[in-house]
Amino acid sequence: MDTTSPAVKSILLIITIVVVIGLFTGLTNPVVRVLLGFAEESTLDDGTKEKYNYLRDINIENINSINALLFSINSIAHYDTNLKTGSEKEKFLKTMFSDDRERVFGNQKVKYTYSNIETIFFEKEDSKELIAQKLIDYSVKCFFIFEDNGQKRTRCFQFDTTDLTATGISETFLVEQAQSYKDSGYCDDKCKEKVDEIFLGKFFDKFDLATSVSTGKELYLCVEPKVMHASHPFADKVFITDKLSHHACNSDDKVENVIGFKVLNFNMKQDIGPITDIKKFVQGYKPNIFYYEVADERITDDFSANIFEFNAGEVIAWELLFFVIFDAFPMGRQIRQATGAHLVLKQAVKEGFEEAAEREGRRILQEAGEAAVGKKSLKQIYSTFKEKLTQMIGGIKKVPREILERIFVRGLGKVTNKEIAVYTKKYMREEVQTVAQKTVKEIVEKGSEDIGGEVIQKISQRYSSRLSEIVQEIMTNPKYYDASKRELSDVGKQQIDTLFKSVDYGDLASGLTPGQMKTVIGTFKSLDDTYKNHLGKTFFSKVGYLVKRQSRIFGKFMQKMDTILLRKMSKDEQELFLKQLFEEDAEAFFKGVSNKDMQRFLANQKFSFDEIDELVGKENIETILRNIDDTGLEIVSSNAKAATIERSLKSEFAKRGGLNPFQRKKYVILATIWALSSLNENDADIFHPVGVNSFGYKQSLSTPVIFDEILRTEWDYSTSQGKIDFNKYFKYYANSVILGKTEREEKIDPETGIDYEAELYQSEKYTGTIPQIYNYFISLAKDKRRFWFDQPPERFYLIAPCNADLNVRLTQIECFSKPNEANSGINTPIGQFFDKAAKFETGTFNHILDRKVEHFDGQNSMLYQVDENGDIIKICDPQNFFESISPFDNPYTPTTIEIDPILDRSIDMNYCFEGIDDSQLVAKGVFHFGFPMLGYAVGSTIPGPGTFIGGFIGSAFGSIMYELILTGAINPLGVDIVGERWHWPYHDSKE
Amino acid sequence: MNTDQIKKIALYFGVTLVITFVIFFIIVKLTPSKIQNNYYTIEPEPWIEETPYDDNPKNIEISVSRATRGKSVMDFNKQEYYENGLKTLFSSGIYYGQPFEIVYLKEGYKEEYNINDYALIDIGPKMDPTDGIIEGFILGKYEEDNFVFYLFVDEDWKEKIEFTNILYANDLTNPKIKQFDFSNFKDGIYIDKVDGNFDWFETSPRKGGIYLGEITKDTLKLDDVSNSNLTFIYVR
Repeated sequence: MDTTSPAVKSILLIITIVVVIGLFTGLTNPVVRVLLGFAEESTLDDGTKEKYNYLRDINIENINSINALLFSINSIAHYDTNLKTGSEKEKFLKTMFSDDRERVFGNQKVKYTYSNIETIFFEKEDSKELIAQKLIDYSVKCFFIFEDNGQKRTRCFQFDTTDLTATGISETFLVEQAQSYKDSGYCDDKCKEKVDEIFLGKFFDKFDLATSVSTGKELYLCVEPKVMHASHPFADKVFITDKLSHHACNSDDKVENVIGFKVLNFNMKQDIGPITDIKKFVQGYKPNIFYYEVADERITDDFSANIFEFNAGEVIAWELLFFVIFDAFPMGRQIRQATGAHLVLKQAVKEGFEEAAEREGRRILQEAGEAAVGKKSLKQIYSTFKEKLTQMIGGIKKVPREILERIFVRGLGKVTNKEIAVYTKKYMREEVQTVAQKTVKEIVEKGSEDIGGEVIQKISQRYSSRLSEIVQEIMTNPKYYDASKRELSDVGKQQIDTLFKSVDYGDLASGLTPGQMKTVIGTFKSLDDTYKNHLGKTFFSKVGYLVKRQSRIFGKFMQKMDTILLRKMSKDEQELFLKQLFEEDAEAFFKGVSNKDMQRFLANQKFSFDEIDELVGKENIETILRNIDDTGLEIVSSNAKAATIERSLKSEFAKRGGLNPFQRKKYVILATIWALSSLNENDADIFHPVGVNSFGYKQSLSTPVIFDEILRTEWDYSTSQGKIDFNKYFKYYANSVILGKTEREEKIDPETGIDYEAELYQSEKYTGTIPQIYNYFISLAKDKRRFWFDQPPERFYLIAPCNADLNVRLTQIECFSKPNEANSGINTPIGQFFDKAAKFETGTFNHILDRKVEHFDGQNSMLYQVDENGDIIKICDPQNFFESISPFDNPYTPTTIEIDPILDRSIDMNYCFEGIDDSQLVAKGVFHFGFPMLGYAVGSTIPGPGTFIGGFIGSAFGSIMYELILTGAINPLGVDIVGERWHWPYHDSKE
Repeated sequence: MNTDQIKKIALYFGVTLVITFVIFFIIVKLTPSKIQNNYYTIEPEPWIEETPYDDNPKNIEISVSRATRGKSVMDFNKQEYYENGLKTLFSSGIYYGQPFEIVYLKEGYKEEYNINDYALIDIGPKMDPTDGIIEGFILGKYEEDNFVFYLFVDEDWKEKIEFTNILYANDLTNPKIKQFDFSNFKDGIYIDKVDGNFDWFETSPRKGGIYLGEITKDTLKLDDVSNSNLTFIYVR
């Protein structure tokens, strides 16, 4: 198991967070100053203190929720892997939980249950009489089971009362209902005999309703033989109890128990705020996310797809970063416990930060502000900030790995506090200064001229049209073409006519009337449903991915084009630009790759001048390229990578014919920009995978806080010391309380004023994961009782705000797809870049890692990927029916810990996995897919260029409307929450 | 009898009573009762139970828990088996060449509608043999140390599915096939069983499985069944 990289990333995290937050807000915001430890809480004024307390409370709630969930996951892994005997398992449960099977994490509660007990649900509409009938029926069954089991203590069923509405179900009422049940027609002679014996017997009391039947209570149905308890020496007895620890439920068969958990009131909060002005519209909303190993691509899409990625304003409202780092984050704690080095680190960060950021940060903000006044364009300013911040984070990644390894991995004992201070200060000073200076320079320069707006607008329109064509190309695949034609005929020409008559396309700028919008949505909902029912969600996600991927490539491409267009570059600037392109970017991408491999790789990218022409427009390309002076092309001529790229474009140049050498160089520039944009498209900026066996908690601007097993890799449960370590870990886990066992009152020493017991308790607490989680995949179910059909397996994640009860249980899932190293491009010494999409099977040698990767569970194969840090990410893909419907593919079936959130539906802003509600989902389908497809459909009925025109109108209109709705600028569906308009979170898991 | 004699008799009687009770308790506690199969029956018919708690008197439910001596429960399309370690059996289906899990709905279904009005085929232990919905279910269970599969289909299945085969294997490269035997039934539900020393669910990736419906050995050669118009359900 590779534990190096998480550690390296962990320290990157600390530095990144500190730099980012420091640069933008640390020096200007008193709350952040306090959070970072640069000021005392007492220095805050009343208003700010209120904000501080509010943020602190949110953060505590979030951390407790995450800890409660991690505790549940760890417990399942520990119970299933380490604990072999019934008595070991029982001891664990008795030691780590209260008598009520609970563990408390602040306002959150973890409760264990057994997954292998059949659950009977009480439904909302169940009457009092029906509930009684169920209880009687199952009591009778339980008695039969008891007899079949040889009259041993038997635990038969559990009842879920979550939806129960009936009240007044008492033991007397059950006895009254027993006769009715006998006469119901569902009770045969044996049953009647048993009802008489249990409920209507005259001599012995054989039934005990040992608790009230009320909503939210779990009930267990158990039978105990006579003699086994003093309360019923002469008769076997049925008990309905809310305590699994009840003597009657203490069945002898403990080894087979499979433990599960409920995390009650999981509450991952985020301060989103209302969308009331253009500023918020520009800034957008980035949901916080808690995820396993790597965030789902669809979610990272949503983080990176929007052009306004950064919300500097939100940073101010960020949650107690140092609290997260040093209390919830294992690395920070290790430093604290082991050497006290955290103080040195903190001080070093502070000094390095203050030196650089105090000076440069202020200047950036000030000068950016001045530039903004000049340009009057928030979009441009935020776009620039985004770019610079990305660069800065990119720069931070370059911290020499060996330094970090030496400091944090190879042992704190081997490095002095002074070294930590020196490295950190040096790094902070250099990186922050470099990036800050660049930022200022470019912001000021960028404000000087703006000549390219018109061309960019033209290109965007063209791109929108081309994207529509791409969707159409998929649709014209014979496999889907027939289906779509057939389905579209169901929509009906009349509906389409009505739709088009109802919309005045000439008046789009002022928006549609509510009546028009209603017609549009009604029609497209029908179309959307039809498509989804027939083609399935895989198709939509495929198309969606394609559109987004293309958009990202295009976005990155245009960013560079924008640089060329917006400035009439001087010779020096051209040189700088081209040097950056070839000598830094291209070199970085192709470092260590042979020319032959590089050419093969470029060939795999299927670069085509025709495609670029189609996307950007030939005349626009000419306009762009005219801005590059021929003399600046010397760099292209002299650069080895450029020469290789030119050679790889040989066939493309041949198609063009007649290009002079200077034109060829310009096209090399174009091709290089495109290729690099394409290569880079998967690198969702600041969204890093956190590696196998780890969870990431990603907040708006930060790289993720990582929860991993770094503190526990040395623990071996088979040894005595290992047992002690594990025991301490679970006992003191993350400051939780076992009621009746570990709750305590303050015991302050009168002389020192210190609560030593509290200090001890504090020093023993840990967070993170245990190594045994390596054996399992962690998946997300989505309120299965509510959305029970067609839920393919999915990697675990939760989006804030999220308030839910989580069911955590052990299961297996089905994973498809096959190892596909062949699709990964080329194998190179820096293979991880090119092999990012490759899927490997455990149990085989991996050339990137240069070792055999053992099966995660020690026995069975599973697929995995290797991320850019060389970390392993487990892979579980659903069956891809988009490509072929093959029910004979052999599935991987990893043992899995499944988390099923049951959302609190009474809360409006509660996402977890949903993201958007049904009406919003419809709009997304309508605007993002419906319009382009309908454009195609209508167009295909018109001879000549109809398809193109239809597609163009559809996609352009759809994209515009979707973006406007997405950002909350308009609200056509009347999603009105407490009189405010809100941003939509940028994901939708129901697709 | 004088008072002393009465006391003595009472004492003897009391002591005897206590001893009798103690012996009784010891005997009761120590005597192992026999494991029985009255509720957890060997034969499958009693597993098909009435469902008194819904509106449709014709609904039945195959009790997975009862069939497996409480060792297994259903979780939507998964049968979780808790014996000799956790095993999960996954149900899926193909309806006229189109894939589905649990239920295949005809077009036009919306969340607010009653699923039964739109369901064409349904996999799971709950069935109504008279509702026009094709229903089938494959249940895995240990019989002593041997793992076997019971297959249940309803009257609608019998009427609407052209032919019903059972294809089964520990490795699909070498399958066995037999016709479904419709001779054993209860309340409109037909029952058959396959026994093939099954252990395909013990390893990953899974190479075996049980397929029920319009399937032949030739079907296994299809890379894509979407154009086949076949209907079958399966457990992997």
